[in-house]
Amino acid sequence: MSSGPSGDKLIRVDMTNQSAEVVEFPDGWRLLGGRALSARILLAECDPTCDPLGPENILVMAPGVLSGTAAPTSGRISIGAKSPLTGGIKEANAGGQPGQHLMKLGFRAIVVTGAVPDPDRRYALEISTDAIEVVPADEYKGMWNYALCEALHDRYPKTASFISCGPAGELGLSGASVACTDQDNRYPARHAARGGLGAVMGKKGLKYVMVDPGRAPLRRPADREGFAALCKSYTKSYLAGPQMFKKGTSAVVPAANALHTFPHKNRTSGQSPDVETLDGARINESFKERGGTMHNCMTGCIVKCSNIVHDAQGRYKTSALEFETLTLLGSNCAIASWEDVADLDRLCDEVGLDTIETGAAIAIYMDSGKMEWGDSEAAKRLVEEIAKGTELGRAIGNGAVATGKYTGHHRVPESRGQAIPAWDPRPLKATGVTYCTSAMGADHTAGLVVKPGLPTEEMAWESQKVQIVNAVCDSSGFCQFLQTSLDDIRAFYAALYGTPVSREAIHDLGWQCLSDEWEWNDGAGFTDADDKLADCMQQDAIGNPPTVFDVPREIIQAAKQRMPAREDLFASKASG
Amino acid sequence: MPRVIIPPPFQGPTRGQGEIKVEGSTIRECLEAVDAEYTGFLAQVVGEDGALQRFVKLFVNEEQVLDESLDMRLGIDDEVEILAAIGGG
Repeated sequence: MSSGPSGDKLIRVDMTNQSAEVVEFPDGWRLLGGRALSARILLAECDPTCDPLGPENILVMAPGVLSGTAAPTSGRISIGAKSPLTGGIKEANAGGQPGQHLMKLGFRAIVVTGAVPDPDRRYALEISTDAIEVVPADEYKGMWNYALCEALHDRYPKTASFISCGPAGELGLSGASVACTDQDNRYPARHAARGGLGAVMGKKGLKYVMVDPGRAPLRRPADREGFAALCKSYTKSYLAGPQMFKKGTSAVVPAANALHTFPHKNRTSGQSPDVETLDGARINESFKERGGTMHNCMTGCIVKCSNIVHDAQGRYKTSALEFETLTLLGSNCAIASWEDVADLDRLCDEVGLDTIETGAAIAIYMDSGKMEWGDSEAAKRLVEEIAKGTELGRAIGNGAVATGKYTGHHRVPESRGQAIPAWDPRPLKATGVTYCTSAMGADHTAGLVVKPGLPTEEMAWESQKVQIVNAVCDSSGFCQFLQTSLDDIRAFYAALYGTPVSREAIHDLGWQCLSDEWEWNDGAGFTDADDKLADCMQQDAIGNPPTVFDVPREIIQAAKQRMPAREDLFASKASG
Repeated sequence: MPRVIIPPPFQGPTRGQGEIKVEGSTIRECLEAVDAEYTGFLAQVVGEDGALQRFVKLFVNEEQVLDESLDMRLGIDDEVEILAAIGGG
């Protein structure tokens, strides 16, 4: 039996002198990918006190351990750096094709340091089987993401995929996302959205990355038969099951509303009167007359949770119109129509913005009285203003906290500087524990716990458990919606490298990722005192019966103290 | 008595209980019996029109109830499991 994929490399890019070199990937890191790899590199190489928009920050783009293999739905890519939004370590995760393509070429990560000396210049990183080089890209400066990708389609082979930042990133705005192109149309609809990593990319002068795998084959596992059998059995089992996400996350809207976690009007309520018109079922109903469909964003995905949404004239409008976007840009702003949210989603993807942060910021602006609730046209103009870099546009584009300061408004739902997502910590208190303790800040993908009846004494374990599972999942390349467990992931790892991976080892991998992140944040100046939510989450009650986030501090802190593994740790599914 | 398996997202009204034995000869009767003991449970699963909520799936003895009929008859040892897709970004 072979030892599995070997000879992997890292691409080191220095934007200060626009150079790229390929270096060895440490063999001892072979079970590190995605989020865990990003954390390890940043802990080793990035000064936590650096200016997040300066040359000392390091931008990591790392596919998962299983990316580029035949494992189903395993092509996720992690983008990591010091976040200009939170001031802490950040990992944001996206689907699309670049993760698969990088790993098929044997590149475990791209590590970008420095910044171009002339901030008006733009460059691109080209990666193919022939060459890896940094090239001038001034002609793409300021381009919106869709127009950029259309131009790149003409320039590069059809096999290429792209990672880019939009005008928001080039302006250095803390709500800026990193876009990845999807499988079918190669549209920039998959975003590593949270934490402003698009600004890190933009301020380094890196406008886009092109990855062309050509005819590179899938990565070969050590135990080819065992790996193939795992792929087959997992896929068969998944497809024979309920496939709960096959109509998209937008279908969660009515369930979330029933649980009082469909925030309305800047989270002053957990339910919306517009639940019917924002329900993802309306999107699915539109497919029959307008076209559009469900699809997979990456090759090998069996979940197919992504939607392709058309307008009333049957033309492509946007893709990946998700639950969080329908909530934060819809219900939270009292915008009632899913079609208006689709317009806003497209605009955010174009400008390169996190729809959660942008929706939270716009809702604060509305709540401050400076814009009418539900004024979708004004909201669209605001997003366009972000791209122009006006004073107001910059405030909104810098996210919820910046908008709160700009307006002087008191209600700013955030944790560690990042806007709280749709999953509200008041009815979902264990999720609130995750928001308080995760180095990521208010990030539901760090560990979502949807257990409204959970006793307080179990919240620390439930949060820690899902944080560990999600950290491993986000390091593996698997999409969280495939809902793999630690036992599933270690089985795939064992077949990939021909070496058993114990439960203890996979637990250690997950815990080490969290520890690396906490250690980095300690260096950035964070303390236990920062493990909290905004006052409004502790004061403004929602739900039935009305409830606030009132988890005792000792429970919150317990989530950061490693607990002995319980049986449910290894069978629990990723949840985000 | 049939058993009703309740997923964590719906355990608010049942105060964390995930498995409840109730009297009932159909799925509907069993769900109503749970609600009689734990008010607020039924509305999570069944809509105002009396049909299964769209985001919920039912399994009886691990077989999906494909026609989503709440009038399906149950035996005394049957298990009704409720599944709901609650998650997503």
